[in-house]
Parts: sequence; structure tokens; C-alpha cells
Amino acid sequence: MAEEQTLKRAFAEAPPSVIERRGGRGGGRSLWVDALGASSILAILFALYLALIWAPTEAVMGDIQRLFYFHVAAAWLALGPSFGVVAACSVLYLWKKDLRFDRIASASAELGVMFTTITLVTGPIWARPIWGAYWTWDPRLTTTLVLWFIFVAYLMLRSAVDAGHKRARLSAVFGIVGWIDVPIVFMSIRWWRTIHPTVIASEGGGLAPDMRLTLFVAIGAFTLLYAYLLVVRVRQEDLATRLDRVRHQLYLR
Amino acid sequence: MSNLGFLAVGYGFIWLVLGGYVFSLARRQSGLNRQVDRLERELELDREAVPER
Repeated sequence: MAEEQTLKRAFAEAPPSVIERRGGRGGGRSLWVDALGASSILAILFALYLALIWAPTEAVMGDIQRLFYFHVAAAWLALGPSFGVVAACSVLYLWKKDLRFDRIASASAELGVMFTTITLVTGPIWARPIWGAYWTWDPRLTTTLVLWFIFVAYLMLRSAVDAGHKRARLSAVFGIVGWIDVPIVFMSIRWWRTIHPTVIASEGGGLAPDMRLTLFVAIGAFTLLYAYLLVVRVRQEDLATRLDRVRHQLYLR
Repeated sequence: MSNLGFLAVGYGFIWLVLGGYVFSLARRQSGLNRQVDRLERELELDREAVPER
């Protein structure tokens, strides 16, 4: 009798919710998510046009300076939204004990590592013709590399522990402690002697208006892309969790 | 390598990483869709096996 009830509950609850969550069937596809994806692509194409064609060529560095717009946008995405969301959702998980916050934090950490990788690789490509070296153990570069290692370790920790509250608790503590490096990265060029240029400064950073506009468009485009990828990734995690729950329910009967 | 060469490598890397991530998301999504299909088939078979009251 109890088995039959469990099975019927699974029938009643599982299929519609599963179909709704997969985002491709049964009318569950969200228009706003598609609109977000489309607008992020359009914004990136526009930012590319501005960065590669419209923005003036920098007098000293030449065309390589055009890498600056997406290098800074990627750094902003990593240091600001990506790891900020990891820290905020980690705190919220420890407070509310809701695993959805853990899923958002892990998705955002994944994106943060991706954007930090872009920052760490495009920086040296830009530095080589300007500084004459791909890498120096400059405080900004070193603290960013440390940040990358911290969040790669965060993702490795998650893959090594079984899903559940134990993993969420460990990840949340790791994510909050790891986030402490973010203000250190940001302040490194003020605290220590460095050759890394200051982009965000109280005096305006010394950018020409056209270059500043291009930078803001690139940051906006990458922020839209981040929001879209985060939503898609969190939905996948939600669906995987729901699938596990339904399967567990079915196998228990 | 010229200035433009470094620029091309830099932008190439950015789109390679982003494209790779989007590709990995698409693969995960198709894997999840396969699991949903399998589960729906199992549920359908079980529904036929257990008559409604």
C-alpha cells in the first residue's frame, strides 16, 4: 500500500515538473532566458565592433591595446559578480540551509574561474609586446593567480565530495574564505609597488571618452553573458537535482 | 610576432574559452535530456503496470 502510494506520488509529481524544468518541451521554455541570451550575443557583437573598429588606436601601444576592453571586462566579471555571488550565496546557504544557494554559488564559481582564466591569459598576451615579458611576479598578477588557484580548488573540492549538505557547508566556508582574496587583488596596485596600470581610479583612469565608452559596452556585454550563462547553469543543476530526487523516490518503492 | 598577431591570439583565446564553455553546457543539457527521456519511459512503463484505483 505504502509502495503504491510512493509510486503514485512519483507519477503525479515527477513528469510535469521534469518536463517543465528541461526548458525545451511542454511549454516550459522561458522567453526571458532566450531574450537574455540573444541580447548578450548582440551586445557582444556590438562591443566587438567598438573595440576592434570604432575605438581609436592607442598612440603608444598600438593595436594590441584593443585587447584591453575584454581583458578588463573579464577581470571585472570575475572579481565583481562571479566571486561576489559565490560569497553572497555561501553566506545565504549557511544562514538558510537552502541547497539552491549552494547550486548558484557553484555555478558562479565555475564562471568566475572561466573569466579569471581569460584575464590571466589575455594579460600576458598584451604584456609581451608592451613590457617585453609574458609574466612578472607583480602583486596584481600574483594575487589574481592565487585567486584562480583558490577557486579551482573550490571546484575540485566539490567534485571530490558527495552532493548534499556536507558538501554545501564545506563549499560555503571555502567560498567565503576564498573571496577574501578579491579585495586584495583589487587593492594590490594601491598597496604595493606595481607596473600594472590602474583602470578604475578616482581621477577617471586617463581613458579617452571613446575608449571609456567601448570599455563600458564590453563590460555590459560580458555582464549580460554572465547572467545568461549563470541562469542556464543553475537551471541545469536544478534539473539534475530534481532528476536524482525522482529516481531516488522510484527506486525506493 | 606583430602587434596584430598578439591581438588575434588574444581574441582567439577569449572566443575559444567561451565557445568551449557553451559547448560543455550544451553537452550537459543533452545528457540531462537523455536522462529525462529515460525516466519518462520508466514512469510510463510503471504507469501501465500499476492500475489506477
